[in-house]
Amino acid sequence: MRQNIIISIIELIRGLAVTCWHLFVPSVTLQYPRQRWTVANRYRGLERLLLNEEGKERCVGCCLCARICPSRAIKIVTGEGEDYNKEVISFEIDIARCLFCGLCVEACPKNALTMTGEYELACYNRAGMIYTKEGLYKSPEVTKYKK
Amino acid sequence: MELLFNTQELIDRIYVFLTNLCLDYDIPFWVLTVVIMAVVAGIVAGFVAVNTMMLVLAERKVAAHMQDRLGPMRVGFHGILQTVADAIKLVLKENLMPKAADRVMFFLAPIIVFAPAMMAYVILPWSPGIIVKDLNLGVLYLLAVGSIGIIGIIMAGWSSGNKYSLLGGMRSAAQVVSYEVAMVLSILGVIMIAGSLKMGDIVESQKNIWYICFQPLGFLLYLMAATAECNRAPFDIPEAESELVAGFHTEYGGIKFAMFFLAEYANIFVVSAVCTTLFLGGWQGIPGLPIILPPILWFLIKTYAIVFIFMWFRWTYPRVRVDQLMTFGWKFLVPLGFINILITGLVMVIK
Repeated sequence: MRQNIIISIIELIRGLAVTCWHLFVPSVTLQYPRQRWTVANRYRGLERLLLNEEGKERCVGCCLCARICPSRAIKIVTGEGEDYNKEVISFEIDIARCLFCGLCVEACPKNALTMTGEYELACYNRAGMIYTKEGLYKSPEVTKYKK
Repeated sequence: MELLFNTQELIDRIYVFLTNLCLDYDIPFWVLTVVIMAVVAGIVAGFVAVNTMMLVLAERKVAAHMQDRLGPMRVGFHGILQTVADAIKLVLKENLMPKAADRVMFFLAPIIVFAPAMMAYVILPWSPGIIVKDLNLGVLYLLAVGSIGIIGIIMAGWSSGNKYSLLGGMRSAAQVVSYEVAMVLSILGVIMIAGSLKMGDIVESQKNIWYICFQPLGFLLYLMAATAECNRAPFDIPEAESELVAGFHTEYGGIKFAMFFLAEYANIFVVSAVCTTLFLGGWQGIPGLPIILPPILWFLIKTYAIVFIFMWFRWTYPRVRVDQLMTFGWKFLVPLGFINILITGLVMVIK
């Protein structure tokens, strides 16, 4: 009993010492809108379509990405182009359904798809969640906040 | 500058000046008294409000840094205006009254909690001469006033018409009644040595040595009992967020909730200031060293150090159970308090 009391008093003081020590440990908080997180190279954020060296679309409309997508977020419409070639008429990714698994990037035989470090994907309506070809070829805009 | 150190003279001079003013312009003296009372009450109320805002921010900052966070950072430089923003939000909120509430009691409870917290400021000795009223029964008055607040808490719990609130109020009553005993016992030792209940005398008699040297056990007992008196963690079972939602103030919102908050932090300050007065020499500097700081600064430094200790306790220790709390109070603190009085008495008799 007496030993218990002594041990508990020591433990109480040790608890105080721990919290006091943590007063001087630098904080781990990231002041989010002002400070940004630098994402890892392999971070899976918003998808992006790439152009080839000649500045033409790499995507040939094979629809493998749409096929492998577990949540069926990708919708591709292909058609006939000017010189009777197969052409991608529309390429849409519904970001609201996307689960950022990266299977589409792996499935692409032409390396036309990649994932960027963009993670601020909030928008005001559901229509804004659907990224079309125009949006996917641009590099994503960086949101700016007032200080 | 000189007057900052000799505040007794400052107060005397102000009083003489005002009295002469009354005589010159033929103002009756009761007007002077009323004006002085109103001004003093205003100063105290202003201090309570500003102090509460500061303490809330300090609490959040201390908590944050103890948990390796930063705390409020957005409003003002390092979030110093955060509590101002919170206060404005609370004041502007809608005044809700639950259907099951007892209207009169529900309305009165925050006032009854807040008034005694303010009343205790009457006997705090800030500096020589700067004291609202140095009552002969200062300590007794403090203890008496301190236990009125509990009625407000029970009223709040009862009138909310909510089982959790009622439980919180009841627990609070049980807790404060038990810890009042321990608190009185821990203070008694000091009163025995000082031979007076007057705050001014108690401070004056600590000129050569602080009472913490004679009463280390009393000091520790007081700290523990005071933590429980203010309903702060680890003894915050009346409001225990995880068990009782928020205890007695679950149903309160807006300005009424702000009153409870004000009362809580005003109480913390009072308890710390009393601790400073009784054990740490009040406005006296460290004995034996030359006086560097004005007495009022000494008083505030010591008081805020004690406040920091309360915050430190809160963010270190987990909440105790109700039965543990009662056992701790009655079987540990009260006997130790009696032992402390016994030893003090024995030493005094032998001397």
